[in-house]
Amino acid sequence: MNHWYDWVPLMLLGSSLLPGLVIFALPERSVRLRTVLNLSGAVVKLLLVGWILRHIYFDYAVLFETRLTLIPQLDLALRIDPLAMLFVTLSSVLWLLTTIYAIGYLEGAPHRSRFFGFFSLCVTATVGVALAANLFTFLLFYELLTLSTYPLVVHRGSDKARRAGQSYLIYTIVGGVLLLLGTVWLYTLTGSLEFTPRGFVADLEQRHHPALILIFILLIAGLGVKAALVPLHGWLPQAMVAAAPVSALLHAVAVVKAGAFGIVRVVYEVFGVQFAASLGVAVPLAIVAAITIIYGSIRALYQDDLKRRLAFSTVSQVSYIVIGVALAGPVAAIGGIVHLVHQGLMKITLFFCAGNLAETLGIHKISEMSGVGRRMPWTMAAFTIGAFGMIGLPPVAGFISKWYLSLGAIEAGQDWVIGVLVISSLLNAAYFLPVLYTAWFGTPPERWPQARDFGRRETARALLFPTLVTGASALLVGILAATPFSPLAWAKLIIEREFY
Amino acid sequence: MALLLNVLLALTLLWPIILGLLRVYPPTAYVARRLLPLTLFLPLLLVVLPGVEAVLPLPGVLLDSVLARDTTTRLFLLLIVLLLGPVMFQAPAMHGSGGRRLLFELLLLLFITALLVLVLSAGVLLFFSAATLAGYALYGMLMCGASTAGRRAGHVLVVLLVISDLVIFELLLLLAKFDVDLGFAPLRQTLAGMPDQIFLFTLMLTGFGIKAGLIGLHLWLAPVWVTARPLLRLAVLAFMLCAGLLAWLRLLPLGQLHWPAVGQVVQWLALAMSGYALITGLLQSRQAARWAHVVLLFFGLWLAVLAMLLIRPESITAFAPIWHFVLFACVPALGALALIGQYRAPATLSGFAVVNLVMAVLMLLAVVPANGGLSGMALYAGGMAVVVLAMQALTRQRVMSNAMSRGTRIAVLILLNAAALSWLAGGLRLSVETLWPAIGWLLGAALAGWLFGKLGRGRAKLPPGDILVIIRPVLNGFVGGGYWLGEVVLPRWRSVLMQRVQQGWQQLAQLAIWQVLEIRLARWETAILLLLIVALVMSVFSG
Repeated sequence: MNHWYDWVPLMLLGSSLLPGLVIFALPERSVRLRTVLNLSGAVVKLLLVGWILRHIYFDYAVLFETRLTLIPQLDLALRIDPLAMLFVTLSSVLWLLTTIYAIGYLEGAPHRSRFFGFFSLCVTATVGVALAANLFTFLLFYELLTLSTYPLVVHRGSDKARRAGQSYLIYTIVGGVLLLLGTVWLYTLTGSLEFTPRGFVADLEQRHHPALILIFILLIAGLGVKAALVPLHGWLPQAMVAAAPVSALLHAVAVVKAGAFGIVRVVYEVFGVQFAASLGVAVPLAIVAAITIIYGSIRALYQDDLKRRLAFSTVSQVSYIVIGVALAGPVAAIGGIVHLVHQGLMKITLFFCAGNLAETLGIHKISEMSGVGRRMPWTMAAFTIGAFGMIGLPPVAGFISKWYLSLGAIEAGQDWVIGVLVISSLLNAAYFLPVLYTAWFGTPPERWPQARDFGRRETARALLFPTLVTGASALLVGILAATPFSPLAWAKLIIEREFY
Repeated sequence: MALLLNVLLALTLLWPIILGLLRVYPPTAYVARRLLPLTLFLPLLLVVLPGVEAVLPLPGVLLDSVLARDTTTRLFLLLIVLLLGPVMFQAPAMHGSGGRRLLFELLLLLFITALLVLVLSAGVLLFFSAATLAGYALYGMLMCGASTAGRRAGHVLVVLLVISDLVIFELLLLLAKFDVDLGFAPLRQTLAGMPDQIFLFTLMLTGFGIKAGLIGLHLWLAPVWVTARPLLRLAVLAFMLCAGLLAWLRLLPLGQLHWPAVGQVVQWLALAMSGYALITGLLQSRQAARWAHVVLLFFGLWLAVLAMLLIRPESITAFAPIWHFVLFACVPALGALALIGQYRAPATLSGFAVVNLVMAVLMLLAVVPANGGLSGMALYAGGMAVVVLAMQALTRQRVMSNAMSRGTRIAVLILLNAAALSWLAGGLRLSVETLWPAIGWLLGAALAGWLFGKLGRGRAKLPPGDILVIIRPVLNGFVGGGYWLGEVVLPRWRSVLMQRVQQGWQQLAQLAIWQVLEIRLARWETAILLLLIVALVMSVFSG
């Protein structure tokens, strides 16, 4: 590490790791200090991210890379590239908002130091996953993510939470083992694990191709657990027992995104998308993603528990990213990569809203939501934007993703994908519109049984502010998709500079 | 002037949004409610300000959209002002309670914004976005305080809106596939020469046809019309005009495209629409449903105009001087009829409205060329069907008990006078000789309508929908099927799979292999052995 900017990736990690470690040591009563540490860490990270984005966007010839040799030829390597920054930006922005939300949500709850400690650790792991410059580093942070999210899933300590945590742990550890096996096997074949634009395995001899197919399956299965690919998705609906900020973290910021992001890295920077297509693994991956999209939507249709419905919706929506990658074309890849951000914004909005309803009125089920729009109009307005985005209605962000994915399917000659997207949109409409109808046009009860009083406000400010910010963002990134600094522009930049 | 127009274009869309924000903020809510009617002032300015076309690019907005003002824009803006004016003025009185009133007013502002974007958009993508927003906002307005029947009707509408949006999405994708610029102007240049044009056209017709009440896709109209409050019928009419008819006029502009293959299809559709809507309209048991079918026939009539001009674009020389006037006479007349029907009102008002409608149709039929062929027939059939059904509905008009408010009365009078002025102005451009054949046919139609009205009492059986209302059973089937698949089949497969795995596990457990393995796994030597095995497998595969 010869230059100061070699430290930048570590600074990104440190901005959440250090406050997290300090928070662990804080006594429960140090509310103010904990809040200051939480927020200052998130703000510092965001400032750093803004500064780095500026550098990358204007193509300053600075390589931000940290490399520490742990074992000969196996470095702990962190590198900042456009794809990494897309994920880092998303997780940093959403971390700040989720932290604010969690502060409001957990007000007066026990074990907050433990919660926020692991919360920060979880974001550190996510940033590590994003910045990983090789599969080895990726694997380390990927497993750290598993370990740091487990305490959050079981945080409530109920039997249900423990069962969900156990299920989560079994699924993710098995996934981790599969990923490890694939990584080790790959290393024995290639002697390298460095992420390289357009991949590094294409030069291997023809006789290794069957092994490469098996490695691909191992890696995708390992990552597919967190990305909730069917049939590896079972942990996600169960993990819904966790608190709303944790659900937001699992669905929008960290865990499922880490899985989907890993699949992007593996397809593009390990195998190379053209080589993956020539190996014949891209189309099966697209088929698995398509099955997941339809399966998740069908299962979501009949869930009365709001968070469970949203969980199955995540199962479906995250596979949009996978299908975009698997279509092996630049336009579809833009759709897939931009959906990483769009889905994050929309889904976190929906989970914040679910949390608001639960915290304010004790509503957990859709059948209890009758007329809630009149009692909590801002929350339900944000929910409406999120739901419209999930359906893919313009001008919300989800429309832009679907537009590019569909164009990409045409470009790749895989017209059947459009059918899948259309069916998915129909199913999304079928499971989101009744919720909106119930909330806005149902007759509200005379009084809500578990209502908490927030005076003239519909709910606590700390709960409402992040919800409105993410809801408005989901709308704005759709409307302003063609502006130079939009997620879409960034996704195009990634595809142009890195992969094609 | 160009700068002023561009500023106005932007302000026209921003104003309802600003007003919406003021409305939700309690200290400014009262002011916002008072300012609500002024929302239509800026569009009105856009109509009356002289000058040619204005174009306002919106870089970065919805994949680089463009707003524009042309002659058609001005006509439709004026129609919006006329139709939604009464809604805006009376909106504060429509809902008593605070929450519902706020929701309704916000939806109304959203609806108006969407309609204005529809009219001002110069590209399909922005148009599509606005049509979607307008559809859902309209649905929301209809649902505010709706009865059970109204809610059912709303469900039919929303299902069809979803289908419509998906169809239009497909259309946009196909257009993008052929690398076509999605602006209306470049699209028109390339449309007729594109491959798969019949498929494209089908998507175009059905996607926007749902919103314009095209036959077979019109199932939402009569139930919604019957159950909606009179003022909201004006909103429904504005939606059909802007999201349906305007889309056709933008994509298949009158007289600018020669597309005979498509024209043939459209003329048959127009004929079928006239016949079907006339028969079902005559059999309706509810008065409002009859007027809904008149609206349906009106849109069918425009389909016939489109057909004729797609087959014979040269006929535009006859249509060009009057088509704006026809549209501007028919729409306010239909709007007035929508309002009058629900109140105790002098019969002369309804009669005057029908006269306006008939005169507008007369103007249209007067310019049908003698050698019009089947498309000419379709136009005549459409026009006569409008008159037959309107006369029948007029004859069967019952006196309602609830009195008309002063605001509604003023609105009706404005609408009727606008309609009368329009057909008078248009009629001055025609020579009397051209009118005679059409007058004969229309008199016959009016007589037939009157007779149907007098003779058919007590024979009408159809509920507000019609025999094609299959949405509910289809939806129920879909829901049932989905439930079966989502809650029975998939979980059952999953359970069976899990059971099999469990059974296998239990069988293995009986052999106590796993206990032994667990104990062994806790030892270092076993771990090393396992790692060696893995390494061996890898080395075999990696050669």
